[in-house]
Amino acid sequence: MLEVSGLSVRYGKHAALGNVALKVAPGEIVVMLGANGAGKTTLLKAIAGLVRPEPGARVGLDGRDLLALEPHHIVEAGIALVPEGRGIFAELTVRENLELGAYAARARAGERHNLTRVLTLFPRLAERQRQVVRTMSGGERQMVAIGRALMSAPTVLLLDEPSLGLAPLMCIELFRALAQIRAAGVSLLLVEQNAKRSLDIADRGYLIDTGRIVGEGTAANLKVDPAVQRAYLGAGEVHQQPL
Amino acid sequence: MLAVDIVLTGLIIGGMYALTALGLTLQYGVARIMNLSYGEFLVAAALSAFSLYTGMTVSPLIGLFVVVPIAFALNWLIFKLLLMPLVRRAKNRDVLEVDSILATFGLLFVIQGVALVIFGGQYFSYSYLSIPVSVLGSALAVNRLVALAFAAVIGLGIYLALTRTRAGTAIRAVAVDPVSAQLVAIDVKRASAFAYALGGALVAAGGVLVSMFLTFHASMGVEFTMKALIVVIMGGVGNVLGALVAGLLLGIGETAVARLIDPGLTLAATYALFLAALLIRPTGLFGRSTR
Amino acid sequence: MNRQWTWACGAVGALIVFALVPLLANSYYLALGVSLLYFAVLATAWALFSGSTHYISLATVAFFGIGAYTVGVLGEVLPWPLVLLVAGTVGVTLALVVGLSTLRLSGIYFVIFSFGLSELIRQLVTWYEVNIHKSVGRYIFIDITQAQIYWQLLALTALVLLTGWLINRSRLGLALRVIGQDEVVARHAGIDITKAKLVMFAVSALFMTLTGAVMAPRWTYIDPAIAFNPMLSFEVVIMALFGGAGVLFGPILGVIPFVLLFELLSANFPNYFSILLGLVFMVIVYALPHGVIGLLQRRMPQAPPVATMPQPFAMAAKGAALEVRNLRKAFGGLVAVQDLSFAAAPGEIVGLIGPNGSGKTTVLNLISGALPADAGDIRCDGRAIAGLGTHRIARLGIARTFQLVRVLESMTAVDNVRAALAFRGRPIWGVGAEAVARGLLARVGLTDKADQIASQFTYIDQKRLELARALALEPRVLLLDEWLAGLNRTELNDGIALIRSLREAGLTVILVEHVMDAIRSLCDHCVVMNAGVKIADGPPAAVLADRDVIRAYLGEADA
Repeated sequence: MLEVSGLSVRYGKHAALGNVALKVAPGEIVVMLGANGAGKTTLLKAIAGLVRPEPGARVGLDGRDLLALEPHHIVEAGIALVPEGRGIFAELTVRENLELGAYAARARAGERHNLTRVLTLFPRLAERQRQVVRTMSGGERQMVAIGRALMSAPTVLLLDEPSLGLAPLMCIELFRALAQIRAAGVSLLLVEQNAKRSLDIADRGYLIDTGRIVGEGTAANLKVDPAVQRAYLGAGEVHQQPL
Repeated sequence: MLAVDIVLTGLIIGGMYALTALGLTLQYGVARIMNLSYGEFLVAAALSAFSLYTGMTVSPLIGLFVVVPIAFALNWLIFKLLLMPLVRRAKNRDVLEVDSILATFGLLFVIQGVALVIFGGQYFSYSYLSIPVSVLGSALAVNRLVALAFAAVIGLGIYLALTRTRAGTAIRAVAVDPVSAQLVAIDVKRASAFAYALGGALVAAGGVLVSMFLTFHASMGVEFTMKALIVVIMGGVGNVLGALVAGLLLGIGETAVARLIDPGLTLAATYALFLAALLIRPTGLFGRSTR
Repeated sequence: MNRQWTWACGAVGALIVFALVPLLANSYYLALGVSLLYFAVLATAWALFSGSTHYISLATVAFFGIGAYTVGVLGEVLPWPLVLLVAGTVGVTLALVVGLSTLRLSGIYFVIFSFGLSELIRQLVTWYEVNIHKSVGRYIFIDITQAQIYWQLLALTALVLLTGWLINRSRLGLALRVIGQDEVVARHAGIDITKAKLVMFAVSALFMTLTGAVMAPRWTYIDPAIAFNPMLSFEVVIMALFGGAGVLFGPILGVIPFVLLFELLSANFPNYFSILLGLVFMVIVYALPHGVIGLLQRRMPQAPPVATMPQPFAMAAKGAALEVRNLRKAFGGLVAVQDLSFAAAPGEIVGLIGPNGSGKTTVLNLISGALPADAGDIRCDGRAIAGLGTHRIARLGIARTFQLVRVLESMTAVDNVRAALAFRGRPIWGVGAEAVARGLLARVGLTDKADQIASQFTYIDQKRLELARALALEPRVLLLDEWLAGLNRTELNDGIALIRSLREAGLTVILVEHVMDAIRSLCDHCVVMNAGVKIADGPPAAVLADRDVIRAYLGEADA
């Protein structure tokens, strides 16, 4: 269970996140919806330890305080982040990227098993293990990135806009894979622009606007909530806060 | 034959350049420290080998096994105590680069000063295995060939370690993308310290090996630093194979200039090569990669 | 005016006092005075270049040595003034050669190059001496007294300070300050960065060379090792940094304690001089809380304040038509912009929207010249601008703001805007500039904060300042990169009103935005991009109700 409360982040003068709270239960897919600049990336970075929040924040995994840990120890604790821009090693091969994914001590024992699972999940990668990632297309890179994250045997997988720049067919494959990952017991915290498709596989979701959580609910409810459409496309009128 | 002579001698000295550049590419590419005192460690190692040989008749090849581990430990300490505070407080890469250049610039004078105090300002050399041997028609000293052999073994060992072992791949990962490296649970600070220390060990190895056949002076460090920097930049920062090729090219080019034009113009030729390479390809001939 | 007169009188007075020293002091103090003066010139000259551009030069002794060696070679052949002239010319030529080759590259290459430069020059000179002159080392038997050396150095000190003062007040000084803070802003304000750095480097080198020439007669014998001693470069850097390289008189403050320290050290611990100096230097680097760059930025000399009445902002040029045709940009395997074409008529606001990663900011970068296009045509009022450098495009009237606000943090708002006025196509500098700058600040609602330092501004005010700076370029086309992002309701309404007023003044605006309310109320038409490709082009209401656009933003429900 991933629990976040009181999370605020500032970049200089700019308040990127204000008092954010959320939960991700084991085996859940939780989706973060919101327009650009709303703070979704900052939220994931704060959980992964790449960005320091203001005092008063609490980030815990199964009761363990993550804020006290360095980023590489947070990975050891069971959080894996697939950042926007992929977080892969473009100059290295697919195989090397996946092997590096299993660098964490918690991932060593199951490395073989996880590698087989990743290559089954993404058959295209199995064909191209010796290819340098820089030469691959956006969709293939995304597969490498998710595969790399899965190799660290995480309990919670954080994904920042995984469908970014993917062609529609690749998107279908991607979301199918995400559902399979959940089936294997990994919880997902998903930041996405593709609201409809992500709400299709998610259990719950949050709506974030200008750094604050302005909505929360089951995926089914959010799918029909007009606030979601307004958040992305605007309405030409003053934006009401649902809930 | 002159051409063969130039190529062979050039390859030998080029191999030494490649070895020392390897160390610097680890320090700059992984630990992100532009170490201006790099050449001073080479000179210090050479002077240590000299003392071991002339004082205790310890062969420099045995001396390698003494000097190199000490150099590793010393550089580890320097990174942890002197350079980590700069890394920690640097807000971005530019600030770190400037601070590390100037801090190591100061370190340069400290080390040079110590060397001058201990050894004085004269020239040093000693004679070890300077027996000529005929290779492809050219007369080469055995010590040079032995140095090249050792350099090749060390270089190959490092290459294999970097590409075949998990720890080596982790170090290359830090060179490619330190942020992504954190995301795979690599302790970037520890990897940087290790790479820095390893770089120091490599340059010490280079120093011991060249001490067998070059003449030394306590203030020669700057020239070696410059050459190592040029090789690293020409070969692409963090690029092991690039450093090798660039080092060999530099060695051959320099020897050619020394034999065909004038031995006093070698540094000028090196600089000219450097400038030409930068103007054609500002990211180095091979760009930034870790193959 | 009073203040300036006081300064001038004080300076002349000080000059006279210092000039009397040789007549009053004994030879020991005179020698000390000479040491103080020659380091004063070197440190100030060093800071002129490195302090403003933040390119750390380790090559001081290369130029100093050339000056000294020229005297060694020509000292007995030519009259003294001509020798100085030749030395200066050689130094400037070398600076231009080195500068042209290395100043276009990143700062670190320059530092490395400067580090080895003195070694290189020393080797070249040695080669020349050995092969052509047939003997290394020269004797200098020039009839110059210590007092005369002192006076020449005093003149050089006065000259270098005067030059620094004049440059600080000039456009070049402003350009260098902007470059030192943010090269991207500098380029987009129309500053030719390479030229500015080159000129400064040459001026700095000139003074260093002349100092070496003047000092040479102090040694009766000179050889390459003596003339090109790398310790000198090191000592100069220490003094300048310690005293404060961001301020004109700073380096001199550093010279005094260090020259005395050197005297002490070389008298008592001659063998340990190098070690102690190295340690002192490292301590300085560590003690600085913001690193060396922080020290360089500590205080920027202010241009003199001019009291005038703020004038209303006047648009000199009407907006231009912007046409983009078949634009393409790829980064390795990723095609960020593919075959994009659209047009903006004069005085239109065109929205450029699309989900994250659709290529919008890349398009702005291509138009402003920050990135070169792989293929395609960009025309402003019919004139092709694709392929021109960023600063030239800025001068032709394309202005922009940035996604992550870029203001010149350590300068006041007025100076930020003045920086943009000074280098645009129709530059305004000096007395008139202040009035125009204040007018622009009034336009964006920053009148009462005009004299505040930009780093203290709130986020929205920094955005306003960036807009004022963009407007200062007298743009024909204004590119706003997510300018309305991160604003609350009130600020958003103010921002929208501001942009609308720009359109009323006739400006053509390209608006990259995610805030759809703004798009709906401001834009004449919208271009929607998805994955690098244009998927819609039309009035906002129509475009935002388009099924393809909705699908692009919210995603597809199922296969």
